[in-house]
Amino acid sequence: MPHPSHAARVRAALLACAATFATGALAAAPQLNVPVEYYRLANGLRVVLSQDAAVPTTTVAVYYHIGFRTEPRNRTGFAHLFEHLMFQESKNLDRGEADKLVNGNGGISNGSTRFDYTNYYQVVPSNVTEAVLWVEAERMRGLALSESSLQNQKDVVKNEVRVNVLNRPYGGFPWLDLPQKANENWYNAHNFYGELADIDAATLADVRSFYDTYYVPSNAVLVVAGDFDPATTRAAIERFFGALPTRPEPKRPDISEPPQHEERLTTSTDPLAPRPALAFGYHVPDRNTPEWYAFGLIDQILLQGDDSRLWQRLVKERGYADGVEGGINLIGNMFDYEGPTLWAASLIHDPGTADERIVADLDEVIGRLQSTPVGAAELERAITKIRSQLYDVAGSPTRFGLAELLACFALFDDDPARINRLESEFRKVTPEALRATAQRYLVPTNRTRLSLAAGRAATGGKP
Amino acid sequence: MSPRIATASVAAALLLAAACAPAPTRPVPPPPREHPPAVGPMRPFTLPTKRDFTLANGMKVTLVPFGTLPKTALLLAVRTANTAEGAHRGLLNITAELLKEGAGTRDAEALAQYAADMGGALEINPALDQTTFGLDVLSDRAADAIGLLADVVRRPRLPAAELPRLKTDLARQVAVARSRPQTLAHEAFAHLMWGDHPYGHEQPTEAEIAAIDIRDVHAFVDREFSAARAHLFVSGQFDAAAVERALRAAFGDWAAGTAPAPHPPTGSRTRVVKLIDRPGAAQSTILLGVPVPGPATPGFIGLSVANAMLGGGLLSRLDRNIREDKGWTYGAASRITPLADGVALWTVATDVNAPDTAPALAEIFKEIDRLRTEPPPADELRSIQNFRAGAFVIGASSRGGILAQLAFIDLQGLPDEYLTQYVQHVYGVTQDELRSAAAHYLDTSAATLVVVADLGKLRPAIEALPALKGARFE
Repeated sequence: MPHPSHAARVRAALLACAATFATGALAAAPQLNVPVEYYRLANGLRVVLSQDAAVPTTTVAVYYHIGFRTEPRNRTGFAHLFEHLMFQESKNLDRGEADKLVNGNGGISNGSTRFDYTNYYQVVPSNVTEAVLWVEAERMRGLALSESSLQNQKDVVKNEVRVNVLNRPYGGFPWLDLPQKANENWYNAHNFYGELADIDAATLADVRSFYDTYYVPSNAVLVVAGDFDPATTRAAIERFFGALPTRPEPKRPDISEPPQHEERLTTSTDPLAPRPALAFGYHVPDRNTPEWYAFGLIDQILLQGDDSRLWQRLVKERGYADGVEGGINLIGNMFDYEGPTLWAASLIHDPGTADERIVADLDEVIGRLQSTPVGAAELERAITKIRSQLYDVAGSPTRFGLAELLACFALFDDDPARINRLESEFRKVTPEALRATAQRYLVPTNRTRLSLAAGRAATGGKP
Repeated sequence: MSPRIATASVAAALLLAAACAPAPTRPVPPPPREHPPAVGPMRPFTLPTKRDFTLANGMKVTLVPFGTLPKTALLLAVRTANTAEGAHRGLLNITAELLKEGAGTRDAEALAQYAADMGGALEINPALDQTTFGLDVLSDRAADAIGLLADVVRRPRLPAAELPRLKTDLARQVAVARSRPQTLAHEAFAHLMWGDHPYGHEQPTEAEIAAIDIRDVHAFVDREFSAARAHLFVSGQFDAAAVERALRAAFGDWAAGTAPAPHPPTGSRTRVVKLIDRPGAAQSTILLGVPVPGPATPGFIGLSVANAMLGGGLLSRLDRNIREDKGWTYGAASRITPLADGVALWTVATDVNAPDTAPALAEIFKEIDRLRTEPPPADELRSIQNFRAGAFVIGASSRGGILAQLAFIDLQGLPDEYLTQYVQHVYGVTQDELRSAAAHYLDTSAATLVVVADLGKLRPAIEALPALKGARFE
């Protein structure tokens, strides 16, 4: 699980556009048009193919519909620990051999665990595509974990938590801390990285049970994007994955969050932090609703970029901080989760700045959005920012962002092609709908505040 | 982390086909196993064509049409850096922030909105040897974006009223940075490595920040930003004729200015250890390094492959050992950071579980020694070569990656062939050349080591390490 740091979150966006765009004929708003071929194997595995042979590399990603939100209750951090285990030995591969097949043939690979999925992804020179497909099928069907590998990866994961949280100022702030305070349902409100004791408690029996339940074809999607021959690749997918037995799709527990009726204020002290910090989060509308698209534009208008209203007020005018960072879903983006999430932001400020002053400014900026319709130029700017980000997702040299949207839309919506309709959905949002959404959701009773006290006034260590 | 490897373009088409390798061999244990499909030859990869020209005032321009998306990346690289601050440490960082506070006819908010209307955001990155201005916009706004960049570097408003806020911000950033053990390690390491050279002072002090005056900023901008020090790189989809017209109009009459003052660094080759106490630290932060020659040196590619084998990712010996075998860390990495004047810095960095600090240091030294004394197995070398070649192709697969690599060879004074022949040179490294490069350059007897740890518990074990015998403890 990469650490989404305060200052360096990666905001994925989406999309690609038709390759029909020629220099000298730059149209005003080219149509986004990612090629999408979608089907399911007989055992239920979803497959998304998106061909683009501009450069000779291929991106292969497998997303399993199991994230840290729904991991076992007495095993916090287990979904993420399990992600590490999938890189260990399997029936036909010794430890390290999968890495050698992918990276040793010129690829880049990784995995990550998020609220509602765990993913494994790699970009390789396109001649390695079939070998990578074989590796993904191999670990979907034949994980053969040893006790020593389990122990080793427990140690690695505990060191991951130490470097990213325990020995790091602002380590869990606010990405780990805020969901635990803002939510009531355990699935949304536990420590996703895991208590070290829970990580230690994991057994091979836990691993087997989790693997057999969740790592089945009917609970996964395979995405292949980039430079590949469709017919050959479809045949290879059928050959490698088609033989996997059909297993039931696991049931999803109730992850809904009860409505919030009162503002939540919490404080904590970070013994490593030299300055106080403030975070705030609001529950957002259900995904794929008109209000949710409106909220996506509200995020752009209020928070994204140094042109945004909160940046202008809190950073530029008031000088509370050198930046204010956040968005919808702090460890991902507005498209890669399923279920409840927060729109949240945070800033590190000086001791002389009372939280109440910052919140008063926040409320005033929000109040203006609730009382006065957004003008045409500002609305267009918000859509432009989204469109520009979508192109960057499609144009990324790894295509990891593209694979993510295709995978999430296949797993959550059974409709990866909706990637090509996002911009038009945002364009349906009217200034009045945007104002109504702000009035309904951006209210203090729907808010959680997290005040972080600085436990380390002096800086640095002593020689 | 592996070395910064340049990617990018060049006129000639580069075929990487021959470069790529067969599947690695694999021991076959007794029970019948299934095998992965064989890996065939890599499809040819052509680096995009670029066009270079120089304006009459000395400003250099490189245009690289690339890709199928309607976006254009612009990178304006200016030869000024923290090394040019003199006694005013932090001045470039403050200047970079003030440059965003309005330019030409636009105040700060209007400037930010103008960039956002183009689908972009201005990014100014001050660095040790070069300062870059980046703007990535929708293609139909490329010419406007060039105008915006010209406003920022040629007509900044530099409002004095914003200076106190920006100084407060910088002081807070420094305080936050210095609460991280990695920053403390880097800061101490830099001072030991570079002494009084500007490289030796990574973070300005509060007093240095407080002393910055708006007149210092004006003088810095007047002296340091000029045409003969600038290179504009453009990549992505764009109308080349319109872009050229726009940049000639925006920059053609910019004063040439003066050449940057040289600041050749000399790195320490004294074996020295500095231990910094961080009571209660759950992990120890280790930073080890030695100066090495830069990319223009023959043999640098061999060194970079050696470095990748040691600490360049999942296949590397450090990760296989202290992570995947011992479980002492989330990751260990070695890297080569090219600096100015033919100098580079090789470092190993990791954070290890506190009780395992001394054993981890012993394993790091052991792995470096093994690299220096034993030629690597052929299949391991082939895997690392494939990894480097693949990373090169992936790196060259985006407009931003292309610009970064071109700016890199330009700053390092490297010919285009560094890029066109890079993959070929990677595959040309032999087992013995790799060992020899490691033996020659990765000299731990001349290395600087910093450890940030809970010394109350760990000092005796660290000091007793045989690998540190004879080192000077600071």
